[in-house]
Formats: sequence, structure tokens, C-alpha cells
Amino acid sequence: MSTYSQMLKGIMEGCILEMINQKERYGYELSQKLSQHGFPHISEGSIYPLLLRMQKEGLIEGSLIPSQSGPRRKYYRLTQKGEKTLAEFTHQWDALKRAVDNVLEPNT
Amino acid sequence: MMTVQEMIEWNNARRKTLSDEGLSYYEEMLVYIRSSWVPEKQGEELLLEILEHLIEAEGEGRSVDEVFGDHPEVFCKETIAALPKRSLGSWVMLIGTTIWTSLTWMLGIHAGLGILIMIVGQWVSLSPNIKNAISNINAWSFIEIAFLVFISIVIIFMVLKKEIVLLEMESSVKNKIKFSGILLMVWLLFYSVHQMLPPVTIPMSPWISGALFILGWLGQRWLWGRVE
Repeated sequence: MSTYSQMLKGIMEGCILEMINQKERYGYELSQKLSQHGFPHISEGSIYPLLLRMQKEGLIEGSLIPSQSGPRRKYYRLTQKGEKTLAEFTHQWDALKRAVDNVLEPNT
Repeated sequence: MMTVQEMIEWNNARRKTLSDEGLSYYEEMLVYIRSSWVPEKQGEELLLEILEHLIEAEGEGRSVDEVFGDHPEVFCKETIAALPKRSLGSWVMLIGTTIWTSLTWMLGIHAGLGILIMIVGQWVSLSPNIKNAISNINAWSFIEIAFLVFISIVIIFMVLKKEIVLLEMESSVKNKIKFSGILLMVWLLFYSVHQMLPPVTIPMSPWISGALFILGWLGQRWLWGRVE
């Protein structure tokens, strides 16, 4: 896997944590949100291995909600560990963003 | 919470709503995931999740290739790698419980037939061979059944899993012949071994078999509730 795609997955993971933190969401909704926010070159399906890994690491948990006639969706929510990881991601991202901005725009 | 069976039934009904192209791609993923070594519940949950995703995407005019890429196998490999594997403990539990169940039912059959023959014996005189058969059990039977069950599980999970999934999905004559042929070969092997072993009989009245069957059946209910 290239450095770029590894980095992208890490960032996507942080963004997914934040989106789930805002409210419980399901896979399709998350992939649409990522695409709307402009995440490039990602096939919609690639969100599933990521969600599975995040569940295995105990960052999120999901439950299949049955409905009378409509689709049965798996809604995800953050665990305590997920909340902690999100806080770390936000902190690290702020620092990284500032550093990269400083390099790219040295005069501002 | 949905059971595995409910998820499979729901999946069977829902995937009919896919386009032909989507269905053929999705069924490739389904065979791949169901025939892998992932815990059944998690595999079915994932299958349902991606099915609903695909239905929603097709409803908005996107094709299956756009959603999951050109190669279902690549997507499945990556996804299965992210799922937890069956633990050693879970394998031991599955094999142990299946053996337990088989032995329980062997005793149940011995008890049932024995009691029936004893009732019939009230009116009809029985040959010594039959009397002998109902009051003794060949001790090898326990080991043979345990061994046969163990071999069957190994064959089912290691060699035949894909064939079984295909058979469940499409009950074609070709699939049935292939599956029956393999099972027949296993049975012939088992029967040949059985013929070579000298019988070791232990006295066991149908009433004792019956009592053991009841205990075994209670244990079986408890054990199956704990198999993943």
C-alpha cells in the first residue's frame, strides 16, 4: 500500500469517528458524506474494511436495526475508546495542519 | 437482535431486487464470504450491510463496479482480512458439541429401538442375535462416530464449504452429484475401517441408553447455545 493511501486511510478513520460522533450513522450514509466532503479516489465499498477494522479495535460498535418494511441498516456509534481516539486525532490533525500550512505558505 | 437464520432469509428476499449485473457480482461476494473462515454472524451482518448499500446505490443509478470496484474478489479479500477469525476455542467448541450431539442421538436410537423391540418381544420370540444387539453396544461405535463427525467437519469447513454455499444457492443436479459423491467416498472409507475392527461390546440396556440420552440431550441444548 502506498504512503498516500495509508495516510488517507488514517485521515478517513478520524473523519469517520467525527461523523459518527455527531450522530449514529450507517455505512452508505458515511460513504456518501465522505464523497460529499470531497474525499478523492475512494470507492464507496472501501469504507467497509475500514469500519470492520475500527470495530475490531473497539473504536465503534454497530447494531442492525430491523424495520417493518424498509432496509435493515447497521448503525454505528462511538465507544469510549473511540471518543478518546477521536480527541487524539483532532489534536494531532490541528498540529499537523498548522505545520503543513506553515511550510506551504511561509509568508502568512 | 436478528439471528443468523433471519439474516439469511432477509438476504434471500432482498437480493432479488438487485439488477442482473448487481446480483451476479453480489452473489460472487456472498459465496466468497460465506465460504471463508469468519464467524457466521459477523459474515452475515456484513453481507446484509453491503447488500443494502448496493440496493440504495443502484436506486440512485450507480453500477456495482462503481460501488465496489471491478473485482469482487479483491474487495472480499480486503474485507475478510478485517474480520475476526474463528478462535481455536471456538473450533474446539464446535467440534466437541457436534460429537456430543451425534453420540447422544446414537444412544437415543439404541434406546428407542431397544425399547420397541422389547415391547414386540412380549408377543414374538426374538432371536439371540437381536436380544444381544439391544442389550449391548459396540464400544467402537462411539469412537467411530466421534471420528466420522470430526472428519466431516474438517471436510465441510476446509474442502466443501464453497460447494455447500453453492448448493444452498443453486440446487443444480451437477452440484448435488458432486456433493453426494464426496460424502459417499467418506462413508465408504469409514465403513471399510469399521469392517476391519474387532467388535468390543459393552453391556448397555436400552433403559441406560435412554437415561444417558436424556442427559446428553440436556447437555446438547446447553452446548449449542454457546457455539459461535
